[in-house]
Amino acid sequence: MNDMPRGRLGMTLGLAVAAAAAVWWLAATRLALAQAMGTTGVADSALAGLWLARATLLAPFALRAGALGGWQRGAMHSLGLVVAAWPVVVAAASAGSRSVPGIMLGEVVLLAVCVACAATGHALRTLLRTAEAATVAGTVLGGALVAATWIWGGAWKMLLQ
Amino acid sequence: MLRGLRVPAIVLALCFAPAAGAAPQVELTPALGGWSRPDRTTEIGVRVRADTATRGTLGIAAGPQSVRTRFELAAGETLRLDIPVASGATLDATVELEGAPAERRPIALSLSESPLLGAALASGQSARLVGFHGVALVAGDLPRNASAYASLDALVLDEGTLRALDTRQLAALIGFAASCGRIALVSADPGAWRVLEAAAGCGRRMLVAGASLDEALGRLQDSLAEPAGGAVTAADLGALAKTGAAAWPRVVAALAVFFAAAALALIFVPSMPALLLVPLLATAVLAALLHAWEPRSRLVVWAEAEPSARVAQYQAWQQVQGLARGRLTMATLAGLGQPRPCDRHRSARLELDAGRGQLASVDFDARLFEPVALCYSGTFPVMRAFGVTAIGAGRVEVRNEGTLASPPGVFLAGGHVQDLPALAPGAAATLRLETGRPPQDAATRAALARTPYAGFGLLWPLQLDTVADAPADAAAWLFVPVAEAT
Repeated sequence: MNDMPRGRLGMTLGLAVAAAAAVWWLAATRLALAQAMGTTGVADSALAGLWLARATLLAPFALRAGALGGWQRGAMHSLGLVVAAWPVVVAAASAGSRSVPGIMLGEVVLLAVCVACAATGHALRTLLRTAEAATVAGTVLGGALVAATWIWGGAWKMLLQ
Repeated sequence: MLRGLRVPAIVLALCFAPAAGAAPQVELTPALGGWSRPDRTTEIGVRVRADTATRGTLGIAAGPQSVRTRFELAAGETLRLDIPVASGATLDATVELEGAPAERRPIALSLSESPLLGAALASGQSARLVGFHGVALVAGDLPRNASAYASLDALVLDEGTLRALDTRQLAALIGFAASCGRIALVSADPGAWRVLEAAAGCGRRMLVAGASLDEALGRLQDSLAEPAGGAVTAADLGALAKTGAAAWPRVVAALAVFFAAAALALIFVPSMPALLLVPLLATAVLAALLHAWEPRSRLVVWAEAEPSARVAQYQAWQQVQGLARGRLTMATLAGLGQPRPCDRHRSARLELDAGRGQLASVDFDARLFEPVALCYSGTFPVMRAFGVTAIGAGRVEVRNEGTLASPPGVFLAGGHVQDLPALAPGAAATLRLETGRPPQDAATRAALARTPYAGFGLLWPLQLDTVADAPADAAAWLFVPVAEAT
């Protein structure tokens, strides 16, 4: 896997997640409008889902990217996964009831995770000396982080609100 | 000697010293003697008098909504405002006058859980009605906004009170009668009866009169068998009064453009930092667009009148769909009466024009896709009188019994609609009931839903000539239900 496809992969993943969230959110909003129901709950759910999906993908992706390309490139490529969804986040935040500082804090946390995971991946590569071992270790660590995010998703949600 | 002159000198100096301006007098008086019911509308009378020119701000907070008005007073001038507000156990009024600290004044209201009977009897008699809580009122207690009569479930008044009302009180009382308010008039004078009878809605079933108080109350008691005719609500009109989804296609288009641009950038942009700029730029552009887009206002006016009534009662909904998160200001339409937020439980700040005594604008906390709406209601004179006669073989004759020609409209019967031609005064059109077609649009569907069972309905589109600032997407209808053929 060379650098260029890996860079594209982060952005592509981010766009795919954002597109899926946007399609679900806009379709659910249209249905809610047709039935004269509120649309804020749908927007809040879209925001929560979008954040959780990116957080879930980000940990293993950034760790592997850092292990393979170094922390700077790894972080740069992982950023694509996060920022690709920002137009959808802005639109959904306009429709939702969550506090704007909370939403911004959530995005800052994701950006920090990008850098931290990429740096951790780079450290694993330095520690284990081979890219293959670092990739495997990064994937395992990323999986553990995903599990932790999933298990303590409620705590994250509370923190971000 | 000098000491002896000191006291008279001080007295003289005080007598001839220029009089210091007395503090402005502010009176806040709830209508109907402060009586109301939970979740109803009442009215606060505001009187501010100042000996010197001053300016200030008056605010009244009632639950999640607050009314505010700025005023300027010339020396010796008195400001008189009658502000309709949502009822509550305590309303919080704040008066800020130039050069003086803000003064908070709580206004306590008496909220009745039982139906309220207002007895405005100049004769001094007391009125009782089974199941009602009677409240003795004087003419000055009666409100100057028809909407404030929502606090009462029935009103009994006599000729003396009727004569003591000022013009605005009389207009409000007529508005109450037009909106199917339950009124009992104690008067033997047919002139007094005609004042209300001409405007009364619901076929005058809610308006009774008697030569004595007992007779009037007896008739009022009998009229309770008639269900109270509530005003048409947005829910009654179904899709007609639903908020459009004007913002939705715009957001879909903007996001579609972003995803298309990002996909192209993925293919053609080799630099990763440049690639990251695409969503960043798109985010900035979308945020700017959401604030720059002008919300589209929509107005729906629905009026109803009895076949031979001289006034029609209308309800109107001015709706806007929010585009951005933040404050959304809706200017009220000058040609429509009694503007107010449709949802009384929604946070809103109402700005009152002290000069006109009318609501000028309402600030809502809006969000993307979230509709906000102002409701209006009132009456207008109608010159259309129609009779529907069954002439056998599934045919009916619709006759224009008025003195003015009527424009083309729609005739509704048996779940079907058909065109009603323009009719000159005295002219009639013969329609076959079986030639009707299913309703094609939201207006005819709403009219059919309101057509009496086994009865008929007449529907005309109205021109909103009197509403100069009506939005382009405005529509109005006049519906006349006919309970049975003559």
